Amino acid sequence: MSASEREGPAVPTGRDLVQLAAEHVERRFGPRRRPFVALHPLDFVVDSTQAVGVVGESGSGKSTLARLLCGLDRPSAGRVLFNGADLAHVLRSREGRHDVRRHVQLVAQDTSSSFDPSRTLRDALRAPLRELYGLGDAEADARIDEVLDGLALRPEQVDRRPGALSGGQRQRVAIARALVVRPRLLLCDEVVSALDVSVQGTVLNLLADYCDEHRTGLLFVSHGLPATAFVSRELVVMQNGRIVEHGPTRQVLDAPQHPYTATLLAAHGRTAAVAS
Amino acid sequence: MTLISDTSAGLGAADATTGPAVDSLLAVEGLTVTYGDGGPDDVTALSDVDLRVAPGERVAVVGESGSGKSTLGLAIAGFLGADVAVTSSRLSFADTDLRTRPVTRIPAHTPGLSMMFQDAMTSLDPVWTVGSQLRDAVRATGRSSRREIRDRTEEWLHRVGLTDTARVLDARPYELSGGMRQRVMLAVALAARPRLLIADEPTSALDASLSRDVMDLLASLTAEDGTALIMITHDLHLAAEYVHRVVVMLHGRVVDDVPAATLAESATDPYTRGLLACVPTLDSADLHRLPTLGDLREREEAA
Repeated sequence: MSASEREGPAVPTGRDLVQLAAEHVERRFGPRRRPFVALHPLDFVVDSTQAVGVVGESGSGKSTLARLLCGLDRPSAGRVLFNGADLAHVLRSREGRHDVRRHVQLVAQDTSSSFDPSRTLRDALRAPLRELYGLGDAEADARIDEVLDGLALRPEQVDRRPGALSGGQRQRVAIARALVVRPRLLLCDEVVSALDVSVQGTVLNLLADYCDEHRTGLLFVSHGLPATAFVSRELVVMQNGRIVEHGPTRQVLDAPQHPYTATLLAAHGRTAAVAS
Repeated sequence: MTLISDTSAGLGAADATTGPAVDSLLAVEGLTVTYGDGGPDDVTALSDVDLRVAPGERVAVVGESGSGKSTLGLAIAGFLGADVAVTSSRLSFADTDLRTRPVTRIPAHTPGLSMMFQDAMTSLDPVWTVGSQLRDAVRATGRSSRREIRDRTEEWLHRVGLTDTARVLDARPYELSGGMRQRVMLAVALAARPRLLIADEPTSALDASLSRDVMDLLASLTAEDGTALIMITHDLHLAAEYVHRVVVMLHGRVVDDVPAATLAESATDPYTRGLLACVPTLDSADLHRLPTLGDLREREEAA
């Protein structure tokens, strides 16, 4: 489906709607006296009806934003809301953590540290299904093998340990681990950057199709503008810890409002004057 | 001081048609690398690979995940451990037989050869300032006074386009942006004045605009210093703009070795032609589906 076709409103179904909202969220690292501000105070909302792409260079704060939204990191100031409730509070209880994990899944960029090196990848794929849904191995495997097929992975590949697979193969297993949970909102942090172009196409097609078919929201964080534009209906451009532009994908590509966006477009051979 | 804007020594795209003379700085013949302990689970990452690089030549090694392209760089640099089986009929660099290098727990330095990696955050030490790490690299090139080391350190920062030298020298890696860190990495790698630089995915953590900046720098600095470059990457199009020759790898073998300037016409292998067609562009936003190698293969078979 093209970006323009995807611009049509997806159907929010009250009960199923999952929303993450950053309220004046800020993240600082390092000593208090001379902190490094990874994220300046910002407001941002994403829900399970949206497909939002976030682009920006390394250090622009886009990964920090994704980690804060799913509760993997805590804001230095401000708060994140999960369906209106303070995420930090929700995550305190086991039930709350499970509720969040069933609805929101993050695929991180560093697959070398995402898996336990001493266990097979199948163990890693079964774990969330056992933990969140109480599925036995046979039921879990049926669901796992179905997802693997769509990611061009063979079942026997996940019977091995993470070290036996290449980085690209491990990345696809990491995506599979998120999809087997059937989340309502999928956060992807640089999931195709380490993949080769041929596999990139396969994975991006799968992600776009999966999110359309399963009415799953997508927050796709990447420094690769073309791939991000393909999967998103809205585009957020970040620079130095700030959102410098946010709008419908087609509009951002055709009529950028910020000089940095225009620079990114120019690097891909598209000259666009910044709207005054 | 050499200014980075002085690209008279030749930039990738401009002189890509005329590679340097054919005398080899690096000669690799029949290189085979196997990971494992000799059991049935052994993985052969490289099979009978040949590669030649002339002095000052820029070569891109392009391939998929698991194609063996990073292993090729690590094998040449001597960074593979004793538990990896490396065999070749020839592995020479600057008239030195690299096969005689001792295999130790911490890889021995190969004089004249530097390697830089994708992730500057894990390559640079987070505890030490950029200044101390760059000074170490400069100091390793020979005996110099403190003043000379300081001057040369600042000169390197200028060469890689970091003009706010006082701030950068005092900063720890996490206090710099991704693009700045990658420039520091480049300075550290080149400060040792190598004859060959192996850059493993030097731009894959950067956005498109920064990738071009770093590639401009890589090409201009190596051209100015006469340093040969092996650029390991999955970005076929970007690489082709900056190198003389493109080597395409698949399943541990070289399937294409063609001049970058005529890549589209010269590529003989269907795999290379497929890779060229699969790269997403901004126009991909209008596509229903992105083309994949599988789609192209099916189309070729149907035709």
